[in-house]
Formats: sequence, structure tokens, C-alpha cells
Amino acid sequence: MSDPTPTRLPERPGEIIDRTRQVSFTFNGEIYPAHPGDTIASALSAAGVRTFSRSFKYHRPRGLLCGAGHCPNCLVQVGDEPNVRSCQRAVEQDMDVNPQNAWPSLDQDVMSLAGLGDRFMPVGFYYKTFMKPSQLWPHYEQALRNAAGLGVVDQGTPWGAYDKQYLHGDVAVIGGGPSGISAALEAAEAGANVLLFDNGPQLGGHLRWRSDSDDTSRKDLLEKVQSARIEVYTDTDVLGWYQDNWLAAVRGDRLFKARAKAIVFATGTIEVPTLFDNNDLPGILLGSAVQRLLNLYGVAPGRRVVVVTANRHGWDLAADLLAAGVELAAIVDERRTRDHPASVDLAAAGVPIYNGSALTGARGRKAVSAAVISEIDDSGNPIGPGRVLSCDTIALSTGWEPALDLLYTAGGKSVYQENRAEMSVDPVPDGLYVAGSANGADLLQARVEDGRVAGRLAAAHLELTEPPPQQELDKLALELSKEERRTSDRISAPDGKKRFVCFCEDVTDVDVDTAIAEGYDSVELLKRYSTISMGPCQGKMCSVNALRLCSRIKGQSVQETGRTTSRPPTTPVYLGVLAGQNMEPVQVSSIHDWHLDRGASMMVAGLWLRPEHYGDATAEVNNVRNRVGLIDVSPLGKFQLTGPGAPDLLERLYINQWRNLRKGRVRYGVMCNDEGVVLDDGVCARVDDDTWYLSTTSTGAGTAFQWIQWWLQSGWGGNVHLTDMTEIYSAFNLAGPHSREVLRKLTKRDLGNKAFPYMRIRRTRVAGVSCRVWRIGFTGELSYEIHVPSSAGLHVWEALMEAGGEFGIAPFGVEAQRVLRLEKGHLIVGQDTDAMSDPLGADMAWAVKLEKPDFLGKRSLERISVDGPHQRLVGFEMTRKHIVPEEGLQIVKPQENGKLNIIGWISSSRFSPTLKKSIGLCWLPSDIGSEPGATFTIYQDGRLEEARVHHGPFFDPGGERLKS
Amino acid sequence: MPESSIKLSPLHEIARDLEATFTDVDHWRMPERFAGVEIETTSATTGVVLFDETAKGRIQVEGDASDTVLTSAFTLPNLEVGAGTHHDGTNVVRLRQDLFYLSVPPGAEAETIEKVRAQANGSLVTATDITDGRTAIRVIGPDAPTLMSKVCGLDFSEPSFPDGHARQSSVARTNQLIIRNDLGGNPAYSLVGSRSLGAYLWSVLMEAGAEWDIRPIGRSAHHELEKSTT
Ligand code: FES
Repeated sequence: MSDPTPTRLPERPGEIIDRTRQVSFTFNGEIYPAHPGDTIASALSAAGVRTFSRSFKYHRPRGLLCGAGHCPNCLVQVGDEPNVRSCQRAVEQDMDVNPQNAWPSLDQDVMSLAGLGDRFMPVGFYYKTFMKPSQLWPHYEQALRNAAGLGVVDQGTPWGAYDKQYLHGDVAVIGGGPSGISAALEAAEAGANVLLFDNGPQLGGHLRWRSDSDDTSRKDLLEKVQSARIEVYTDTDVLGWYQDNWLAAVRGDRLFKARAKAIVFATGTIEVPTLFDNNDLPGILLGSAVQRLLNLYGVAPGRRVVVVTANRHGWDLAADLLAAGVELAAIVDERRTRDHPASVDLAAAGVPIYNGSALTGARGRKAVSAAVISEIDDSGNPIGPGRVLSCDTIALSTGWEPALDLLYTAGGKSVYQENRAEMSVDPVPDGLYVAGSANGADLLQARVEDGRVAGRLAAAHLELTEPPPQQELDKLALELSKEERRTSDRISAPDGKKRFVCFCEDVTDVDVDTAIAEGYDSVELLKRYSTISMGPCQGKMCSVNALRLCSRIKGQSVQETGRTTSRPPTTPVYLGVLAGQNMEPVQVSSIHDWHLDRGASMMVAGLWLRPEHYGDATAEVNNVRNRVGLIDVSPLGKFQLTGPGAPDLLERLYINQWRNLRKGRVRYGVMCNDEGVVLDDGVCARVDDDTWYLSTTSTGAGTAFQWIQWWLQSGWGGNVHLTDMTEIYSAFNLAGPHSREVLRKLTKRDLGNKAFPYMRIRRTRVAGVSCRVWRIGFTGELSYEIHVPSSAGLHVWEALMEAGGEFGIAPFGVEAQRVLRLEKGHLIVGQDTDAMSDPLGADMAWAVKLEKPDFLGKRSLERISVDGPHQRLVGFEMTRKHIVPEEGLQIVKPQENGKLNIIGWISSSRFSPTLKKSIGLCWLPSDIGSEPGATFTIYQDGRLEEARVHHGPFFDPGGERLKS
Repeated sequence: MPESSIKLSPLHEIARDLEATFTDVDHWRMPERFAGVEIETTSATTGVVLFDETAKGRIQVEGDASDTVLTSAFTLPNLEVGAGTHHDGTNVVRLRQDLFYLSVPPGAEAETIEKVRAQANGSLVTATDITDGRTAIRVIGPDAPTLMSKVCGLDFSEPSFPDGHARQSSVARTNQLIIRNDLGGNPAYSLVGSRSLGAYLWSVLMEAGAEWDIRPIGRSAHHELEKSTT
């Protein structure tokens, strides 16, 4: 039987897999072994799998490239989860892993076999090809979505559990490598509370997997972290900086919202690939990916490796490979010097070494089978015939790009350092610091020292310590400037070969060349046209190469070319993580469960859940008209004004008069804003000399409270206090001809018309509980609105229901209430009025007391009153009695040319079971609305329906029932 | 007021569904026990628990002279806004220059209001019993600060939010008064907010606390924890 893990090496020092245990998972339908600690990518690599998925546009085979969670090449589907970075996701027993963008199979993909590649899909192909005819776009879109895209979203995936957490610290350090740890320790030492974020499973950064430092440095740093005041967040991606040092970070299914007074960006570097022919073939890996495979998972990247480099890291890598027993086909170094300590051993081991040479191409059909190298001149251009080296792996260690995206989003300005061929940030915004390899430090000691200085500067920013002396800063800057260059800026001119600049979006150097030739020659335009740097890695793998290529084509410097704007998130994030735990506040009354137990159908009103009906709204209407009903109106706004200044305040807030209202009496009131627009309405009672109790609409309660509070705090607050009583009292409306008889059973108060007439309020014990009882009537029936302390709400409600049993009491919901009020012609603010409605037009002219010295809206209403309102809110009834026009429908006036002019709208409409006809409220031009019986036309579903103007209540116009 | 307990917390149905046993507290029917006193106290001292303290009396005192009036009515130190003090079973917290929040033992509301009014001496000081309009949930346990940081943007670390202090903030998208009132050496926070939102807030806290096996505790366990404080 063949070895299932042919490239798994003997145990390596520092590896993180548990070789004593084994798990298995499936990939592409086949079972693979792994050890706990393996990632999907390391386990597949150990099994010799090279191709993980296919590319986004051309469906080219792709395999492990960066091994650091940046590039798109190793994205796979895990179960129902698409776009999983296989180099980051730990293997679990029975995990079902599948390739992406491959159909019918990874090996035999139709799109790639059909050759629908770059020949037919050049840059801008979508824009050029699918513009016309526009009607066909939906079909194009469907076809494109099937062909392109990343993974498959399963609509049936169950709701995940996501949440958020707020973090606070003095100093946040992003990056837990040697410089980040060093910065965190220094800041903590100075007394700062430190938050330390790292995207790896353990702190240490490159010390975990690179062998250019011994493990004691890492252990030493980790021990110090444990004993310091540092909150460590590993496996955490910081994906955005926002104003006032607000960081968004993600660990698993949790979003952290972290705030810090100072931030150290020790974000490290990202290894980037170079451009050469067929540079996307599986088997081409970045050097850091190879070192991760070797040193964390004990996996050889292949059997025969060509190391391509331009710095010391390639030699470190070659030494690692040699020590691990992996065959080296060659070391190819752009530089002409050979001064790395390992070069002697490597040469002695017979490894061919090519200095002053570069990689110009890779060969192979589904994976690398050879590397093509060539000598280069001083400008980096190939000279001579070139050489073909047989190999199955190419390890690229030619350049690093400081990971500065977060710092750019925080306002840092990019500067291209020609001598280092890297970006840096200058100036760095106040309170933000960059350290370590992100700041250009390469050697371990320099990184540690640079981190320490950044930590000290951050603590000094908080005045916890003194900043380092200037000589120290100068010395460090000098040391850093002496460091060896680590990045190659060699770039070839586009020549028609297949060289991918952007792996995420399948953009080649020819595409960039074409786009620039077509006029998209600024980097921002180029990005949008070619989609370069717009893929899942957000340009981490491609933007610097794109800039170099662009500047070469345009013959200008990289700095002149400029870079595109960085925006968060800097790494992909699940929408569920951004949504977090479901937090949709819901308000319920004190008898909510009673409603549910009685089968109420609940409706949402603002944040409140209210019973819409209990099965039959029409029966509920009839019961109120003929017997007695009980409705829960707890959401009504209820405010108390206390103090001798209350009447003055009310006179200013309402359009009505209040000063003359006597104790125990109730008046209907309307509030307007200063433009004379109706804000809210309700009843207001004078409870005693200096105490007033008012109610507002349910949905407008919060706004009304803020409105009154605003005026109180703006100078009208003398001698008056406002208290929100909305939640303190539950409110029930007992309505119907038998309501007095029901209430009489529960109270000793005289409820007779003389002792307790209409529009009065009384403090009354109901079922033993002290309540405020109003005699008012929105439904048009004799009714009592009982405001009961909420904790005793259920007790009083049940007592009323029980007492009403012999009178046929039944609960009624919002729907029945809406019909009942419409039969009385009462408007609902917000339903029958809008942001333009004034009380003169809304049939409330009787309430407007323009003779008052002043009130909110007076000036506007005075103006309107000169000519009268243009529109009026009036009642209407339908000519065809059973037709109920939908609320919101337009009222039209047919023109001679057959067209319809819109002249008004329906604000409320219902079929009245009492009147046996369809009635409603509508807005009409004043000339039509002022004329009772005038007919007008409603446009409904392509038909014209006739209706007639009605003034006043439809039912009981004299109000005998509610005053009975 | 009838003899029987007719006052119910907005969390009553939740406790009933959890098969809590109940007890009467000054006309309130409140949960006595859920899983058992020992389990409940252990959770409170090792993880995090929720306690329904809605039955406690709550008084709001407003007015320019409220500071002077309260100082006369109770023995109060000078309180900064956001600071609080405990006196004779009454917790007093200053919410604004002219606004105080008092929490008193169940049933002591009327007497407290009377005490305040007696000191008003003609100045406009309004003392309102807001007990019925609020739900009060106490979050107790060593993991309480972390749980709070999942539902509220405030900094719950010791120096920023010390014991005895109060803050008004958004908790799970609702307005809450948060009073830190440690219990038995463990951090504790009383969340006082709209009664109608109580059940919602409780469910959010239970969900957010699932990672610590959060559980509700009844009055017995709470009493045990209080005993260990004194
Ligand atoms: S390679 Fe990822 S966006 Fe270009």
C-alpha cells in the first residue's frame, strides 16, 4: 500500500502537530489522514496534493502559495462554508473539504478545458461584452455568476451564533511578533493597560516558524508577556481602524470593538511573489510558506526544490530544507554576492548555486515540473539563453511588503523607499506608532529594539513615562538604515506570456498593459477597470507588483504612480460577525403572556408587540358596540408634569388652552412643531394644582418625551419637572355600553354621570389597586381608561375580565380599535397625518387658539389661516359600499385628455361592520373637501372608484353614547 | 392593596417556565429558587448569574435642591455625578446635578418619598416612585464584567467603573442605568431599565452568558451571597 503522507518528514523541532494522534477528513471525495494541529493545507501537502481549487475567472489550477492566510490560491469549501483559507483552518475529524470553482471535477474542469481563458476574456471583458442589449443583462449575469464567483453559499445554512465584545486599553499593539511583544512589554512596564492582538494561534510571529532565531528568544518573550499586565488576543485579525482609535478585530465568531489611547502597529511584513511565466502553477510557493510547512507541520513542500531569492531569507530557507533532508535542485540569487553563512554548507552539499540569476518562468501542465532561470544584467533583464532546472517545487523568497494597510486606513501616508524597494509610512499620525519589520527592521535584534522604542513612545503619549532620548532614536534609525535590502524590484516588461499579477482576479501583466493603453492609467482607474487588488486578499499579494509594473509601463517612479486607497476590512470577514448577536429590542406589556395564551395575533408597533386581534376583529367591533370590550393600550405615552410652571409650559407646547383647565378635568390636546406641523396628540388632565398628567400616541411617545425635554432644557424648564410614566402605568380601555357596570363591580367610587362625567380623571381603587381612571372615549362608546401600576397590571386585567363575564366582555385588539375610531371619524397622528399636515387642514381648527400669546407653530398657523389650508383631511364613504380602497391610494381627477391628475390620498379606510359600508379618511383639495357629499375618484388597481365627502363622525354624531 | 401577592415582575413568566419556586415579598411574587441554593451560589462565585431584583423599590428625586434635601433626609456624603453611596438599606446614586436615583427595600417606597418631601421646604423637588416602570436585573459573578462588555460599550475595568458607581448607557440597544454593586467579593451590576424591555434584556444576557453556563438565581441564593458580604 502506498504511503498516504509521502512528504511528511520525521519530527521537527518546534512543530505544532500531535503525531501521537490521527484524524481523517475528506477532500474532493477522498479520505485523507492528518494529525491534530495540522491545517487542511498542511495535511493535503503531506499527502502530496498540489491543486486545491481553481481560479476565479480562468479556472486555472491553484495550490498553496503564501501559507499565511493572505492569497486566494488555497481557498476551499468546508461543508457549507465557502472561501475557507485552508492554510489557516485546522483539520477536524470527518471534515468535508471540497475544491472551489471546479466543475465537474477539480481535475477536469469544463471552463479551463474549454479554453475560455484570457483569449476570450481580456481585461474589461464584462464591460465591453455585456453592455448591449441591456435586456439580456439578467441572463448574462446568471451565466457569469455560475462561471465565476468563489464557493457556493448554501441558503439553508442554519443561523450561526455570533457575538461582539467591547475592549478598552491604554495601548493596543497589533501584531504579536518579536517587535509587538517587545512594544507591549515596554508599554505595560510603564503602567499602561495593553491589548495585544495577533492573528496566529500563538504569539511569536516568524519566531514560530523561521529558523534564523533560536526558540529561547520566543520563550523568553512569552514568559515576560504572561507576567505583565497584557491582555493577549491570539487568532485575532484586526480588520479596521476607525476614528478615535476604534479597532475592529475578529476572533472566530466574535467581533471585538476595541478602543485604545495609543496604538502600535507591529503588523510585520507580507511575503510577495514575483512575476514570471506561468507563475500561478501549483508547486510554486513563497519561501515563508515552505518554512511554515517544514517547521510547524513537518511537511516537505515537494521532492526537489529550486529556491529563488534576492536576500538572506532564501538562504535560511535553503539551509532549512537541507537540514530536513529535502533535495535542493538549485539556489538562484539575483545578487552577485554570496556571503550567507549557510552558503558554504550548501555548496559543500553539492547544491548548485546561481548568483546574478533570476527565475524567468515555470514549466508544467497541472503543476511545476521545471524552473527556467537566466542570468540577469544590472537592470535585472535576462541575458543569455537561460537554463531549465527540473524540479517539482519552486520556493520564492524574493521580497517582502510591510503590512501597512491598517496604518494607511488610520491616515498614514505611504512613501516608497527606493533604496529598500518597500513602502513605508511618513508621517505616522499622532498617537500611532509603527514597529518592527513593518517599519523596515529585518534582523531580530533590530525588531525587538524597534518594538521597545515604539512601546515606550506609546506610553509616553499617555504621559506614563518619558519618551526615549533623541540619541536613542537616532541610533536606532541609523542601525535600521544599515540593514540589508530584503526585497527585489525586478519586473519584466509584458511580452504576451502568462504572468499573473493578481491571483484573486486572474489579472495578467498583459491585462495591465492593455488597460493602461486604453487610458486607465491612474492606479485608481486601473484598479476599478481591471479589478486588480479587489479580490479576497485586497491586494496583499498584488498591489506592489501592480504598482511596479504600472510605473515601468508608464516610465515613472513608484512614488509618482501612487497607491490606491486602503479601506477596511483589510481581511475578509463574515457578515454574521458584523451582525453579531441578535439584539432587536422588543417591548411587551405587563399582560403580554395573557394575550398569547388567548391566541392573540400580535403586530409590531414601534418596538412594541401588540395584539392585532384575537381571531375575529369584526366580532370584537360588534362586541364593543353592543356589550363591552377591553383593550390593552399600555404603549400609550404617559408623562407627568409637576410644578407651578406646568401650565405655562403646556400653553407653549400645545395649540390649545390649558391654564383654565380645572382640577380633575381632561382636555384633548395637539402638539405642533414650530412649522405648525402636527407632532402628536392625546389627552391631558390636571390631577391637582401643580400636577398634570398627559398621554401621547403610542408610537410617538419617545419622540414626544424628547421634544418636551428639549424645550425644558432650552429655557422653558423653570419650575416644572417632567417624568416619563409610560412604563410605570399599564393602561386598559374598558369600552362599551356595559363598561360602567363592569367597573362598578371592582370599585367603590361613584361612577354615575354626575360624579364622574365624560372628560374627567379620578384616582380610583380598581380591584384593590390604586389607579388613575380617565373617562374618555376613542371608540365612541362609554369607556374608562384605567392606568394601573404595571406590576399589578395582570391582576387588574384579569379582575376586569372576570367582572365583565356576565356582560359578555371580550378583549379587542388594535384592528378593532382602528375600525371603531374610524366610525367616529377620529384621526391617528402618523397614520392620517404626515410631515406636511397642519391642524387647520387636519380638521382640528377648533383646537387652534391663535389668540394665545405664543405657542409652538403659532406663526406658521397664523399664515396658513389667512387663506385657509390647501388640503383638508375629511371623511369619505364609498359609492360601492363593499369596496375598501387600500390605504395610501391616490385620489385622482380625470383630465379631458384622458390623463389622471393626482389630487389627494387615502390615509385610512375600513369596512364598518356597524354601518355596513366602507368608510375612511382622506386628504383632498380644500374646495372639494369642504363640500359634504362632493364626489371624487380613487384610482385602484387600474379602476376608478367613486367616493363621497363626509364631514363629522359617521357613527353617533352627537356623542350620546360616550357621554351616556 | 389586596392581601395576596399581586405584583409581578416582567420576568415572572420566564421564571415560571424554568419551574422556579416562588416566595412573597411585600405583595410581589418573586422566584425563591431555581436549580438549588448551592448550585446557584457556586455559579455566582465561579461564573456569572442573573438575579431578578425588580421587587426593590426605586425612587427618582429631581430638582435643583435635591442634593440639599437628600443630604438632610439621609446622611449623605458629597456625591459626584455617577457616584453612589449606601445608607441604612438605601442606595443613592447621583445621575445628574439635579437628579438622584434611590433604591430601597421592597415596600419602603412611600416612606422614602415622604421622608424626601418632608425636607423639601417649599423648593420644587419631585420624588417619584418609578418601581413599577422598571425591570432590575443584577448580573453577579467573576465573569460579570466580561459578560457586560459583550452587551455594552462601557469600560468595566476597575478604575473606570468602580464599585458603588453608576453609568447610564446603551445595553443591548436599550437604555439602562447600570449600578456597580459588588456582592460577596465578586463584581455585580444592577441593570435598571424599562419594564417592557425586561424580558428581552434577560434573554439577551442569558444568550451572551451561555459561554459561562450562566444561570438565574433566586432570593435564597442571593440572600446567601449577601450574608457572605457582611
Ligand atoms: S492577488 Fe488578491 S487582490 Fe490581487
